[in-house]
Amino acid sequence: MTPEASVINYTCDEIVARLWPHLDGALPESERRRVVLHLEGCTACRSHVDYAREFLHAVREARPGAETDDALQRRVLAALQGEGFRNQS
Amino acid sequence: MPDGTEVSPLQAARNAEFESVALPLLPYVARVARAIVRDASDAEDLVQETFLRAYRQWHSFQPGTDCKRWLSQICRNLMVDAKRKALRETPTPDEELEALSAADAHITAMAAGVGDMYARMDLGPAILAAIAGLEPVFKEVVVLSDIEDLSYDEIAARLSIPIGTVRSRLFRARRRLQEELVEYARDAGYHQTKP
Repeated sequence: MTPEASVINYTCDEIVARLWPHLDGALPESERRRVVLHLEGCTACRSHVDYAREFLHAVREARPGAETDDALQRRVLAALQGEGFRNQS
Repeated sequence: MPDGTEVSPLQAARNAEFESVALPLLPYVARVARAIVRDASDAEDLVQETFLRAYRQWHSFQPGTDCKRWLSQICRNLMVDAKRKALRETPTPDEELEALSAADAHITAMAAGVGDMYARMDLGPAILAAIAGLEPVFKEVVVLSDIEDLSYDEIAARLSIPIGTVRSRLFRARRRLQEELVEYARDAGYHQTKP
């Protein structure tokens, strides 16, 4: 534990063990508050959390685009028509 | 556009419902498929198979329920069917020990001189390739969490596994992704520009 965190409830190990659930919004409110309190006073844990947050942001930014893929849609429609599907509109 | 082919009123109603409820979700299914399949062409095959199965089983879709979820389940079931031989249950590690590796990933990245790569590199293609290369049990939790935005509770319910297993698999999956990305950044010749 870093000296600056020694007076706070959670140890640094306990913070790191909650790092992902904290970033995923999966911690109970009481635990979340204790994590936030620790992070306010612990630069080491804060840097780990910042790094993990940047990673998650990059993963979510990398998600394949949701734009309509016209060629794929045409291909799926052609396959569906083989099953009896007919456009109604 | 109607193509003039005669269909029964019942089938016309079924088609209309499928067209208005399921087909608009094609971009969403494509996003899921592209996240779980490495090859773009395989992903398109998976999208097509998903809609074919959905159309054949449209009678089992409950109107008013979440069609996105229904299609996503079909998509992932098809993926599991295709890879059933490779799909092995990975023993759940000690969750606490695994959780501690979250900081190790950062320490490793800093030691490799790539600690700021997320802010400075375009890692999108490398991230998708790394997700697609994960073992199935890890890939599915990452896709559900980070592509489909499900909560831990929802993932546990969807996969019928304990929430502790969701957390553990997510820890391990993200650790593996981070390791892969450190390797990628190093191979690309990236060096950290700040202390």
